[in-house]
Amino acid sequence: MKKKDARIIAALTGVLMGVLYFPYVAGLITFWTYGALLVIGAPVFFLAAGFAMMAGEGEEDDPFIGY
Amino acid sequence: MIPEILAALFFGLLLLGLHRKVVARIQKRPGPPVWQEFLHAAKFFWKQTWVPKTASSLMFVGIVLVGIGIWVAALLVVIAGGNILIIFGIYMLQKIVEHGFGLSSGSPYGKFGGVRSVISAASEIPLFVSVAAIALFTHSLALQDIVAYQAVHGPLLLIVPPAAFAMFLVLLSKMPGGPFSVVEGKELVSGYKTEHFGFFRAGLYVCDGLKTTVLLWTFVLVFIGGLPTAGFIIVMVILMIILSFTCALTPMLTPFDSVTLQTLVTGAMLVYVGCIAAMGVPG
Repeated sequence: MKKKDARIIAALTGVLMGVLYFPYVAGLITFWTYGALLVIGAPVFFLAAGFAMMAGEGEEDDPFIGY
Repeated sequence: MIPEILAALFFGLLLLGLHRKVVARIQKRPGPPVWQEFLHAAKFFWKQTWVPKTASSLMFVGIVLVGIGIWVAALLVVIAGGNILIIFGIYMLQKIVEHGFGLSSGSPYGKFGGVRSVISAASEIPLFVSVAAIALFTHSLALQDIVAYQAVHGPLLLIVPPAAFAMFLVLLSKMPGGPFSVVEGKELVSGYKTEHFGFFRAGLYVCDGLKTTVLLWTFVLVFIGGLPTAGFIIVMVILMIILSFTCALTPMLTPFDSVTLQTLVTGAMLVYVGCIAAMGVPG
């Protein structure tokens, strides 16, 4: 995934979760509608933020096969 | 809900930090500070991260998504007072997640960790037979009904102590360094976690923090009942200290012994539940 794409995904999910919090608190959307958004959105936000900020751009790593 | 999720994550990581501290003090070591797990999560998030050459990239990344997602879902079920079968279903999914972590990594250590996770699942999951004992008394598996039942009849811990013991063993099996922690045995480096470093490992800490809060909170709700927030925090801390003492004072069992012991307890639980059902539940 390109860092720019990851940044966009992180921003979109973050904004979506933040903005929809207010209708949820106001009772305009149900607990489980907002809950479903969080179940999908929270991990996507977390990983997209990680990719956007800390994804390595060099060669891939060899797996650990012992000391 | 976002504040609740962050609070549960932070509290879960603190409980795991407390676990390490208590185990260290029992072993006459100073041990890390209580907030060490939180520092680990933050540290790993800010490390440059790659997917290993031999890993299955899609699964390697996707399994972190699934891991965080299922424990956020489990926490929401607890907050909503939902059905405990959903929480235990998610616990079973966690076993598949651990397996996925290990198999996707391309590391022999990760793969062995994943395989052990499935082996341990075979013995841990039947311990949920204790749910049957609860259902016989409460006639419901919804957390809010179970809490309401205990408000009238007293804690299920005193009514069905063997079921509480079986659930305690399930909690114990998830504790780092416990007698049933074959999944993360030191001979496997970090088991299924071995290749997930950087922000992937930070994601694993998120899973562990949420999982710890969810499992302990569920145990308190199911066997002690509803409490004020401060009461929940105190009881969960006490429960964690008991788990830490048990972990520190018992050796890690071999995979075979671990499965055998848990299977024996499951058998005893089946007999117990059968006896309750045969004799009829009072009230």
